Amino acid sequence: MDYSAYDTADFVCDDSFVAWVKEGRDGAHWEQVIKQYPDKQEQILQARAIILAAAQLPPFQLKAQDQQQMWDQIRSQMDTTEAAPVKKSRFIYWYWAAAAVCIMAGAALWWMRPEKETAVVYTRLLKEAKLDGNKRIEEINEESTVRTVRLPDGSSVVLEPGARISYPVCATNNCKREVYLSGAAFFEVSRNTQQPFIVYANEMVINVLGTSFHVKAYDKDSLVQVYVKTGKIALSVQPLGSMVISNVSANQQAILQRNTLVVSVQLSEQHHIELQAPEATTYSFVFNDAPVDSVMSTIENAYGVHIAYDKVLLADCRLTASLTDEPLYEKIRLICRALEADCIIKGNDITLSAKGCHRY
Amino acid sequence: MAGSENINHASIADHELWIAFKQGDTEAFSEMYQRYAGTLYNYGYHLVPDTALVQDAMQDLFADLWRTRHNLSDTSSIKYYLFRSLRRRLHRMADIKPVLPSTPLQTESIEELKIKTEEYLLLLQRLQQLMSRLPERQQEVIRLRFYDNFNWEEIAGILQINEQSVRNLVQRAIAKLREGWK
Repeated sequence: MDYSAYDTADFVCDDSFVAWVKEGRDGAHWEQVIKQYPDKQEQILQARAIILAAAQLPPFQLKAQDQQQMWDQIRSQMDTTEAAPVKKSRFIYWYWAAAAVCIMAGAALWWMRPEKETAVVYTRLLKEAKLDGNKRIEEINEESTVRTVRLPDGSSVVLEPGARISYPVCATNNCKREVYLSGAAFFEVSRNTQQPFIVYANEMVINVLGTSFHVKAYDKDSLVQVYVKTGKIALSVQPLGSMVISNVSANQQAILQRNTLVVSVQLSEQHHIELQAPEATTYSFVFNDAPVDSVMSTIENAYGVHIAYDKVLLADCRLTASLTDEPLYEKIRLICRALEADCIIKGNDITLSAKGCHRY
Repeated sequence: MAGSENINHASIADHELWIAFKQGDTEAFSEMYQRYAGTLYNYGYHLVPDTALVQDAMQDLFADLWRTRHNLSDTSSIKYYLFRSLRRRLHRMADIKPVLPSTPLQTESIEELKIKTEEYLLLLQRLQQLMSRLPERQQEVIRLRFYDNFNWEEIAGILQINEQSVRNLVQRAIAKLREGWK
């Protein structure tokens, strides 16, 4: 099929195109078309927008009580036209038979579903980026609790159980900051306006400068969700090209419908419940004259790390700090500086040696 | 794969429903009404923005369906049959003038608009507003195709025009929408 002469109207009138936009059918075909005809990107986006706008036109609702009243009217007219005995024909039987078939088919599909959660899109993206095993570093959280990973640029990623990320191996200082994600994770990105930080989460592409956000991108889910805690991110959708579809700011969440590639953004005050965000998303990290051991346990719980320090020596120390927008390691550095302590970070173990604090 | 299976199931159910109704099964008739009353009302109200008139037309339509059920031919799409009948009926009753219905778009609350701050959604809303200003026929075709999911042939049947005219209406509508794009 040759699409070089297609304009917006031709796409809108193409039944297969409509089936893709509305129901996600023929997806592979149309993603291929987008790749093959880069100069048609604008027409395709226009056609998508027109179809989606029409499909989501606000309806005039028939009130439930009106619907019932109308039915009562119709019934009364039926009764007057004839007093025929009500035939409960085989319709009911067919109805239940059909329902039973549906249920059995559903059960069969469920039983036949793939054995284990794989990361199909994640694997494909890595392949397309030519990041073979030796050109990337992969971290997988196989534990049942969260695990924090430190990236070369100082950013931190809190991986939820089962989540995995990959990023390119890089020896120099100005490396591309790119992370591939499958599963759910909380990112705290260190600020660097020269080098954007990009997360590839299934079809969603998240562009950031410095901010914190939580992403949920499971291979089996029909949605990709991102909740922005601080700062701002720019989203694009990979199969639709590099155009920024939307900007998402703090306390907003964006949801990508994977079959139709529709993105919606909403204010999110109750995201914690919906997203079941990890601890690091929900903790505030604002400490006001707080005892050191409560600060330490907050951080330990949030990031799944262990902090070793002399509890007796620091028993009287108190901290006042607002650490909402820094990656884990920056938080630790700031705390250590405030306590005039030396800090050593080794994987998930942090050792803090302080001399105690001045009492006033 | 799963999608096409679902559609088959739905159309088989529709077909069964129609046959059962024709044989005088009141449950089937009731199911038919519950299934399509909402979408039918939405379509009717867009044609004639008059609640009482549309509701009357729907009541008469269903009452007549029941009375004449023995003489009805088979149909594979009840929805198509109902849309076509309601349109004819409304044309007769209302002597339709091109009245622009005030769509719910304009009554959308400020709060709702604020929440949808995102550009793409704004674009969709802008398009919907442009759509509500298209000539009535163009609006109707766009709604039948993309909102109610009828195919070109069915739309031509509902509007009693040929398929090429339907496509022409869509082409013109899109040209207008694109003018308002910038």
